[in-house]
Amino acid sequence: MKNYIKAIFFAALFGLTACGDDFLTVQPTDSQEAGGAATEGAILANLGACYQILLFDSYADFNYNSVTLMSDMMGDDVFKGGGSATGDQAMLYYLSQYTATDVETPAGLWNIYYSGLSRCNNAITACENAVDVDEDKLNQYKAEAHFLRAYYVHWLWKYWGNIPYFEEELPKPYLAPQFTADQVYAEIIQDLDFAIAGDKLPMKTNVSTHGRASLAAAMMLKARVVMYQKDASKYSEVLADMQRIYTEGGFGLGDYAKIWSREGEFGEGSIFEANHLPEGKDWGEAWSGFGTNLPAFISPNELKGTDLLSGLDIYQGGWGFAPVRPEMVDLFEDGDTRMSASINQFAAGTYTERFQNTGYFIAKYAARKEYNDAPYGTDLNYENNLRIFRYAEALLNAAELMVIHGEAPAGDLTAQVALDEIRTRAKVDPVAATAENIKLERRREFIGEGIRYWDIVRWGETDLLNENIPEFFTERTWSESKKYLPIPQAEINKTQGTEFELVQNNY
Amino acid sequence: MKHVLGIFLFLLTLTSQAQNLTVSGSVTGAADGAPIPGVSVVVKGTTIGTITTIDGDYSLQAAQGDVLVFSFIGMKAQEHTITSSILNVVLEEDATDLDEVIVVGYGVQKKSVVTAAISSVSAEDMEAAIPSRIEDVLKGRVSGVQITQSSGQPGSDSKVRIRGVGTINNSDPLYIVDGMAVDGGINYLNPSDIESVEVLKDAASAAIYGARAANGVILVTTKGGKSGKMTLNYDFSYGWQNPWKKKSVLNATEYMVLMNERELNDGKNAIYSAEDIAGAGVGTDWQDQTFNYDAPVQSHQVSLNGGSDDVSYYLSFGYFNQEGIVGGNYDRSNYERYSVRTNTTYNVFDAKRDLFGSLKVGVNAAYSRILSSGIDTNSEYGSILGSAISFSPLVPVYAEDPDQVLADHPTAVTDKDGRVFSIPPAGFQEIANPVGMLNVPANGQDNSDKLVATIWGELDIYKGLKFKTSYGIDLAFWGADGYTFPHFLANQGKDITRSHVYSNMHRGFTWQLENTLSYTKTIAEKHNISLLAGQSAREYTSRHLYGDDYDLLETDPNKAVIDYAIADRKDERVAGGTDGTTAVTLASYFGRIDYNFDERYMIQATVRRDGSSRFGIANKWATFPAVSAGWNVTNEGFMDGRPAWFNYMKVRASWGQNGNENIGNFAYTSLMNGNQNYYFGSGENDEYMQYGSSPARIANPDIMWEESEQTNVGIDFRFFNSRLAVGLDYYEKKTNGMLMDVPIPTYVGKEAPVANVGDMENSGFEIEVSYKDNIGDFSYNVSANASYLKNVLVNLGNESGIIWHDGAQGLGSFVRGENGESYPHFYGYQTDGLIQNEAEAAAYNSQFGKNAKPGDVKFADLNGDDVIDTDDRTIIGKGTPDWTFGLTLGGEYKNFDLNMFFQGSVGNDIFDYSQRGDIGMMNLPSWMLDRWTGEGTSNSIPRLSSDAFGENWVASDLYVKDGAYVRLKTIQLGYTLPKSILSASYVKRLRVYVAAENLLTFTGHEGFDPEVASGDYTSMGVDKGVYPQARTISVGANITF
Repeated sequence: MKNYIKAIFFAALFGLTACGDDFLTVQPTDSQEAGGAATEGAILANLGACYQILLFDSYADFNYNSVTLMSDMMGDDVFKGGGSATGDQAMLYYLSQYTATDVETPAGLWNIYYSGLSRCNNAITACENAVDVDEDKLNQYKAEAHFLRAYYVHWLWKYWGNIPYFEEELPKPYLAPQFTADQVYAEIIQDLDFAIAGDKLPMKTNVSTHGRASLAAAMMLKARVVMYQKDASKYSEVLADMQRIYTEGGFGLGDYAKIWSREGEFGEGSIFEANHLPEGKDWGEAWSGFGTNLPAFISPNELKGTDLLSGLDIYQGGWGFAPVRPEMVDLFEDGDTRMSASINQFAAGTYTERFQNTGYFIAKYAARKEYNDAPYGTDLNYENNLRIFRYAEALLNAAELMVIHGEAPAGDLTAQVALDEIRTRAKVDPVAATAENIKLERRREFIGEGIRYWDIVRWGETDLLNENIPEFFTERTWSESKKYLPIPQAEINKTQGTEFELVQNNY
Repeated sequence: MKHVLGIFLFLLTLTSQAQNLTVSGSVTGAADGAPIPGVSVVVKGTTIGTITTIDGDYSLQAAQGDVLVFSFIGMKAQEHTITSSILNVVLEEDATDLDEVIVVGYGVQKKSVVTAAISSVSAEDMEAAIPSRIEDVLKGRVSGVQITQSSGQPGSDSKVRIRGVGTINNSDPLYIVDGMAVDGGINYLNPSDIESVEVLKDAASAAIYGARAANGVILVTTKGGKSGKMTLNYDFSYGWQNPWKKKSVLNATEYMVLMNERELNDGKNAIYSAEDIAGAGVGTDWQDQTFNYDAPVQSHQVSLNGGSDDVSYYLSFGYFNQEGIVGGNYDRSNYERYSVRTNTTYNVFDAKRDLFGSLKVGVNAAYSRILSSGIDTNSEYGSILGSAISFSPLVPVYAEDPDQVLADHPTAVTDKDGRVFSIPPAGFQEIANPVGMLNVPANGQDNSDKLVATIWGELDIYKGLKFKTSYGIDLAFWGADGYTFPHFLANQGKDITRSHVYSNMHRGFTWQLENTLSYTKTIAEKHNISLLAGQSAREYTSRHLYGDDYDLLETDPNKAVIDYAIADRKDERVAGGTDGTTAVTLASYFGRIDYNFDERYMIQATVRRDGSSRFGIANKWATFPAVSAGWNVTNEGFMDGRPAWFNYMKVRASWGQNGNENIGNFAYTSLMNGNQNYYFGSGENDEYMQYGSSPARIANPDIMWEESEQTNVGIDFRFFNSRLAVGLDYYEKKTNGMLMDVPIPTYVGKEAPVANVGDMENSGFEIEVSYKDNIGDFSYNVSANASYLKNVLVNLGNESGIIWHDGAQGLGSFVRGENGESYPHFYGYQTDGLIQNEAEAAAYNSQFGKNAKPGDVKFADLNGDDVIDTDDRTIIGKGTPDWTFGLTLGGEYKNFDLNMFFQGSVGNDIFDYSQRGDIGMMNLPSWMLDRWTGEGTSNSIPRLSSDAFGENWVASDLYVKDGAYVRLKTIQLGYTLPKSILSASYVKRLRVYVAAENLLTFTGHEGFDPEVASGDYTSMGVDKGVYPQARTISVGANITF
């Protein structure tokens, strides 16, 4: 007994002295810690995280901040719609009325694309720390990361203009300097020039690389950015890029109506798409999953009817946002196949009318039956890919650069050739490639794709945006200060009193 | 050793010289004259003594002139000088409880010398309550502890806050059960097994638990064996539960009238004709259809206890089963608990010698199994109760055209007789037929198995020097299984096309090793010293595995298992992790010194040093000190002449620092966030998923515990022969280094590093009063407590000084915290009545650039800038009370006993969220009948309008209602059968009773229940249709064999 007691006693004494720091050190087993040398697998994982941002904007950090949709609501193709003006997604209504505030601003968009910037920075750092990675592959990964960074930043630049920008992990106090819109433009161009130079990327993706960034995608983004900036010094470069896409790309226009179906994804006219799959998104899980909410968002509420324009019975109901303005159907000439592929019309009574109802809805990304075959979160898990760059835009960019901006054609692609190709595919007769016709064609071609508003702004035709239509509860006036939205006040607050204090845009 | 032996021999010779007279006598009780066995009789100043026999007799050797001390627990001690060989003594009952001991950390302490703020609840206090959970035991019975039941769902937990919310992070107290810190809630405990619960409220009493004590400590002591013959107890109760109220909503006629009025106000046409309205009647009362009336709740408890010189034992088995009042009859809201406990102590030897005097070993072990299910509660997104108060009263329970419904939706939900439930008309979104929801072919059940066991040994080494060692484990398994079959109930979110099955399993394991040395010594009869030193080490590891799958082969609940599901690989999901991910280790050393002089002046000092795996590399170890002091004023000589009714007074003060180690694992480093995946390629053969990952957050290697510093002063009184007891406490508690994400802008693109940046302050006042007396055969007792709490979020540590929390559909966030204000609070616009006429409308509109009409809300322009915008919002209420109180009334007359227990709160508000702007057709609360319909008709309920809804019903004080309430929580009437009837049977004691829970509730709130706390602490008082607590009528019996 005494020995036993002694044993306990000594065990206790040991216990009193034996607990060291080893005992207090535990290792995480489900996740590596950040930083350090990067294998090809690690680089690819970093890059995968960069691409993932493409899947977020329809439910952006829990906000319905679809970039294309918000662009169109600021334009003159659609209204805001939904449950009511300010009772349901009030921010979108304010956005459509140019009355956004530092609180009612698309903060979800800000958050996801800055996450994109941060992830791209990490991927580029990982490329710099690469070990045992083939030179060509490494260059391709770098070019992809630079392209994606430029893509995410270009949206931030378009919406907010003067924004903080950084390319390295931020040291304490974790703040970045605010760049002017012109400075941001320069950074975007630098990234795109890096992505384009030296053919690090293939011109076009193939069946096993669809979804990845391509040379054509980088060129298309550069064209959008340069033309929005109205940077005439780069028009010739951009036009040359468009011509290269035309001659070397092997792209085609295809049947317009088929572009928007499942079969049309990564079709012959597709240059870059966000690759959505019907799985993985759920309420309360905005930062994961593969589906998109956009189709549910824009489809008529509790729909039972058939589309009157196409006669198709393939559509299902959604939330009734972004009703198409009634005059849009008159934009199209008789026989233009793009009308029924772009716009849906449903008879009164076959769906529940909501705010600003016109009877017309966006067809391109409309909710189609069995396109949301997810076992849960079906409204968030539509598989419709977002078409980010289409070949048609390359043609119309080229036509515009030549006719409106006076660039001389450098190859066999003339403005008339470009316009004819677009119109032939739409099954309408050729017209002269005048500035007016090119602009009109662009509007018809890209309705519902988030392009129109930015075109109006860069063309300086913003009188088109001023309106007072009590019938549809819209009264708005655009002015130059409306070009850049208010930066989320919460962001400014966190920089107050520092040398990095953000200056608010005068909206 | 030689030295020790020398002292021993010296004492022996001393005592032998003095023994020259045999003194004997008997000890009886003053009240009944019955002999008292076991009374300690000691010759004062020596170790010579004995105890009285079963007949109350004693006999010992002493000298003429010696003083004999007679003492017995619960009796007043007496001293008699020996003048003859016969000395009979009559002991009087000691009316004070000051000689009782209470449990403190790693020991016990006599109440009279306690210097800290500790509240205590004993088994007797619980008897009248039939608690189902430990929180119910404490609720309203001790001051300074705010307990809010989350909801009436069976098995739902309560929010327990000791002296306020100490941090915006985890503010849960630390639970220690028989010395073992128990993780993951303590619902495994059977309340009937509890001997006492002590709440360590101030820093000084909690400091012995150092880095885990910042939010207070709750010590639970379970029952042990009592020496004597074995007794067998059987307690049972059976009750019937009902909702104590319905929420008043519009009936069919009222609904039509109001919907029409709204349409007309919006310039549209009426929906319903006069004929429709005339024939509408009251329509469907969805609450009647949804509630489960007379839901049963039952409890059975069998326990054995007894003991001999060698061993004492307590063995119990408990069973508790509760059906919920919403969905319990469909197995959707149920709770069932089986529990077994065995507490045994073995006296290995008790040698009555100085060196190695005794050795005790013991085992405390408890196993419990809990099966439960629950429904979504307090949600505006189509929960069952949320739908019951907002679904259209025009819709019948069952579809009027079942064939058409089945044709449109072949999986429409039916009841067990095949009757088809009605589906929602257009515009109800996720709100659907609540009875249909109860009948959907889906179910899920949670399971939990938990074993908590401690083996311990205690050795008396030498004269007051004791060594205790204990090894404890807490092994918990928990998980859930469930399935959903395809069904249709509504278009939005309730159209399930694929069957689904899931299962998850978790295992958590904690071991804890503790060793303590303690020493007590009295020097010169007046200097009482007690020392404690100890060491503790513990480790927690866990693992879990989760899987779900789709497309079950059969729609048979018995075959709803993952192996029966055949979905595509990409739809299947698994998740899991092993020990390392959640390993937590804690190593500690601690010590305590107690000193009191003659029970007049008391001082105590405590220190604990903790090392935790959760702290950053730079701050692995933390030290937590505390001191406290007390003065028993009435023990002073100069107080001898005080009036007879003034029995006792003690003044106490304490100060200390504690920590909150509950800061999450790996907060100091940056881990990679995985599963940021993207698909490349197209077509079946070429599509592949690229795994993605990126750094989750910016690292902060300096991270450490949250520190809480508390000062407490208190004063205790006893008056009128100790019948009246009063205790008062005032405290100030400050949390420093509250963990918060460093305020970096979102544009950094990563989660912010966590750092110790915030401060919170709680101060408060507590009073506990009790009185007991008797009038002839009628004896009674009253005890009351009240606590006042003021909370200030001093500094959040972020730039804005603001943190946003909960909100509701269409309103955004309205719960938040702000520097310098009470945390959390409701935030929104202040209203200034309604616009009554066109003139007022014109004035309002021209001043603020609005487009309001008569009947719309006037918002206050608080900053006076002639614009109503977000800058005009202000604090409009808070869900946490200023005052909480409890009142217990007890009485006994002959064989009858009656107990009543009231509780309540004052100073708390309820945010009554009743309508969604995006669902115009949802039903409305009845108070909407008092809406504005013309000048002077209302100044607080705006006109009905869809167009103006978004303007009128922004988050404002229109939603905020007074949440004060008083509730007769329990009332119980018992009758104990007279011994004369029982003497012929084996039954020693039989008591039967009838009881009611939540019989009366006084509140101004119109919702289901004034106690609302579902979700996080931040949702306190936010009512979106909370699951109400049931009114229960029960019968029961306590039988002792």
